[in-house]
Amino acid sequence: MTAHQTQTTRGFADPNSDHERFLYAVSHDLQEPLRMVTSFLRLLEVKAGDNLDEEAKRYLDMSMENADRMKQMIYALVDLSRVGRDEEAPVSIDLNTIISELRCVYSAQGVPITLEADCAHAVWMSPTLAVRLLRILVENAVENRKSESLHVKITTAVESGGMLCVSIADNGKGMQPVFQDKVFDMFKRVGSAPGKIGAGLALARAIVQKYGGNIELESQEGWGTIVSFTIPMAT
Amino acid sequence: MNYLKTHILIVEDNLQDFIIFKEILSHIRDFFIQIDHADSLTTALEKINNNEFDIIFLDLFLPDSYGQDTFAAVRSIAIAPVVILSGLSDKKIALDIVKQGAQDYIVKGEFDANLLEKAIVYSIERKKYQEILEESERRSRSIFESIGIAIAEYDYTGFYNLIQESKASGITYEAFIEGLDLDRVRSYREQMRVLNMNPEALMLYGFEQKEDFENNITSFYGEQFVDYFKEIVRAIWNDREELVYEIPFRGRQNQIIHTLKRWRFLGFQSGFYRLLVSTEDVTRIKENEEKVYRQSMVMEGVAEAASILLGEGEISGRLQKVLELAGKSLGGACMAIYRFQLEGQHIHYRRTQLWMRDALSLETAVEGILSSETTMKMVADFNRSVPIVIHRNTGDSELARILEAYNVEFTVLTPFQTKSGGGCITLSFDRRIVTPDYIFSAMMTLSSSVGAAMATWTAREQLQQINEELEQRVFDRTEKMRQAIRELESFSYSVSHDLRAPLRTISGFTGVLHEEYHDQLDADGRKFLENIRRGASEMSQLIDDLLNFSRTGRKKLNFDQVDMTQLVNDVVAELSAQVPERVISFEVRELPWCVGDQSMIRLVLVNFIWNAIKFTKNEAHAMISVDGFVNEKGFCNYTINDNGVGFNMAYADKLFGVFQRLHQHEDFDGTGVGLAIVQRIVSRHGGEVVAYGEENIGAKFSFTLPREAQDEWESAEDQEEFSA
Repeated sequence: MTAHQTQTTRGFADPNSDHERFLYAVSHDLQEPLRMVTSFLRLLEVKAGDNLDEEAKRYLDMSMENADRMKQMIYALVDLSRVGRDEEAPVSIDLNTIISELRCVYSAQGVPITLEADCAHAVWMSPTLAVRLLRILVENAVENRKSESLHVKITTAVESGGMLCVSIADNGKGMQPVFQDKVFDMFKRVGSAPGKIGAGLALARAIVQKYGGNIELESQEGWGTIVSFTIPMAT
Repeated sequence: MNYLKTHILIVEDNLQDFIIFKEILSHIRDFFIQIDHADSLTTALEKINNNEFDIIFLDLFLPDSYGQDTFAAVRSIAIAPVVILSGLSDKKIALDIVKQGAQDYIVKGEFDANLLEKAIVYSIERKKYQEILEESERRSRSIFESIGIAIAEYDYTGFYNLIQESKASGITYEAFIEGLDLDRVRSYREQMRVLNMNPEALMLYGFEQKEDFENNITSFYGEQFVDYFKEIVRAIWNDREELVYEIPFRGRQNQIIHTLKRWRFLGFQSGFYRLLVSTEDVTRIKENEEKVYRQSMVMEGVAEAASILLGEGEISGRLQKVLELAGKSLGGACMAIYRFQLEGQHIHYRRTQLWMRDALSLETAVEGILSSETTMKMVADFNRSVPIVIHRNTGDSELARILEAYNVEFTVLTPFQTKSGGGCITLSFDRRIVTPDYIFSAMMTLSSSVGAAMATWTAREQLQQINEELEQRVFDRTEKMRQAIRELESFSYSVSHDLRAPLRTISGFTGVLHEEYHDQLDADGRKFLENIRRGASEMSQLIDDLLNFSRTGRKKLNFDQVDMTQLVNDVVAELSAQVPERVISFEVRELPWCVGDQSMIRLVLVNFIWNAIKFTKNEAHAMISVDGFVNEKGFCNYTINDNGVGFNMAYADKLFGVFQRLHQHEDFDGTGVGLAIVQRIVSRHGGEVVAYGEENIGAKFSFTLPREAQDEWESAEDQEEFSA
């Protein structure tokens, strides 16, 4: 080792890249053993399933279920890391268009939803993320709807600093205040939607934050929820 | 004097006496004598008027005049010496008359030619010298009277005698002046009789006659004269010839007159002890002196004010001090600093500081002055830092009204300029005084100092503001970064925690399958299960590392003295026990103790040493050494050296990132979290980590740790979150 080969690292590393690296590493590093676990669980079930009793099969199913759940979680983390690494150029996007597309999707799925969009201004963001963001938020309303038909209304208002405030209001179940500040955290589920890992709103927040915006939720249990976020306005 | 020809007048009514006198005179051989005769005063006066006699012999008892009157009459017109001719009976009168100015007297029937000649010569000579004397006296008197210095001559015999008597009776000077007060001084002073005073002296004291002065002499001096008088007494007591002192007194017009007095004790002359007091009016000199003194006082005040202005610190307190100091030394009643702002055509002013001696209304007046159009016009040009004097007859009736209403005689206003505008200092007077030039120059100096100081202060404030903003930005950025790190830690903690739940289920169920259904599985099944469990364990390890990473940033540090030699040896023993198949030569030197959280530092050592073990696994002779010293900053510097695969220095900065791996996972196991943990721990201890490496030669990691407890920036809220 010679003197010229010295280099110092000190202080803080760039926390944002740490964050992404963390997400990437977690998703990447966990995917591999998880794939191994999932594949062998499947193999075990196929090859040795007949030799095992019901109890053991149930154990295997449960393991499969949880491995699947982990997979979903990891996918969510991958999604999250992708948000950070997304380099798609922002363009002017008319949210009304996205909503009308979503209307078609839900109508095709037979979800009883009235989607109303009244967005006077366009947003400035990557099309992929814009679609994903609105989809997450509308999906959130769908997941938390009451038995009667769901009404969702999307409106925009001009904020200072070239930002636009987009609000998605629904007449769903709403939630208790105690959950309201946790909903945007990763893997925090509100309510009891089965099979959901609670990544949607965390992803939504990551998207909004990527553009320097904020997202917040206002809700009254039994009456509905308004999710508002700020995002750069297209000029 | 030509004695050879002497013209003599003999005034004698007794013819017989005249003939005898004439006979005797004829015997005088030395000079030629011309004789005139008068037998009455009337004739005598007539002859004296028409002739120039060298000498007059006068019988006092004439048919038309008698005694002293005769002499007085002759004396009044005669220039020549007069010798009295007297009979034995009126000798006494003759003597008196000699005292009054006759040159001599001779007794009829008792003189001969010789005596008469002597009398003539003597009288003429005496008269001559008398004239010279008189001339010189006249001259003296004229000097005395026109000298420009007040001179008074006193007879202080009475007081002199009093002192001599006191001395003779053994009284000391100190005893004499004991309890001396103004009344006693006055009574002593009255014992000094004024003999003469020149017109200057009368003028000085404001009298026409010396008698008036004498009657009022003691009224001029106040209590302070007592001390001066003690000195006068001392001078007389010690037979000094002269005493000089300065004394102010209040003149008849109530003005203060400063005098320089010179007392000259002439001693005993012509019948009494005489004292000549010259009094020089030094009021103007004194005033000049005072002016110079006041000027220097003012300048000192201004200089001090300027030095206050030059200092650092809070501006308003400083300006206040400056005003107080300057206001007092300039003798004003109210002094204020105003700042002006030009807004279009209008000037707005704002008072920043005020000092007032008294009379609160002055302040209002100044504000009134400033708001006047005239003033604003005058002040508008900040560049001209020339004092503006605004007095009652400035010409602006509005101003005059304000000034009068608030009892301001005049205000001196000096504009000054600052970078961003201007201002002025106002000094107001509540009485009419002659403002000396130096007041203006002092004001100008002061206002330019204030202007400069204000500009400096503004600049300093701006600089400070910029610095504060910069600090705030740096702080914000650091805070943001810390926030991001905290978020990452909290995020990684929560994510790891959440990922653990399904993993736990998988591990649990597959564990049960492994234990209870082992027999029901064939070889493939067992292998599958084994792979499942390995995968789960791998994930578990990864998640544990993540949790560890987030813990290192969140756990509170417990600072304690750490025996590093002991700790390193423990870690080496523990880790090498995990790789019994390896042959590694460890060299741990004596290491300096440090202060830190022992369990955290242990984690650092475990990571470094385990790395070294890991990356030397392909070496036939693995060598790992640990060394340490205390550096110049008082920190301990520890180094872990190995001869393993090393790394490319180009990637050195990636070593400490989370999940950064420079080597293939297949080659060297590990999650890539280790060095990130190390970095966080050392950094939280206030130390730093340095990595040196060369591919296939080895790696060297140095880290520093403190010798005393460090402040931590992590907030306590994190702890709660962590323990929750």
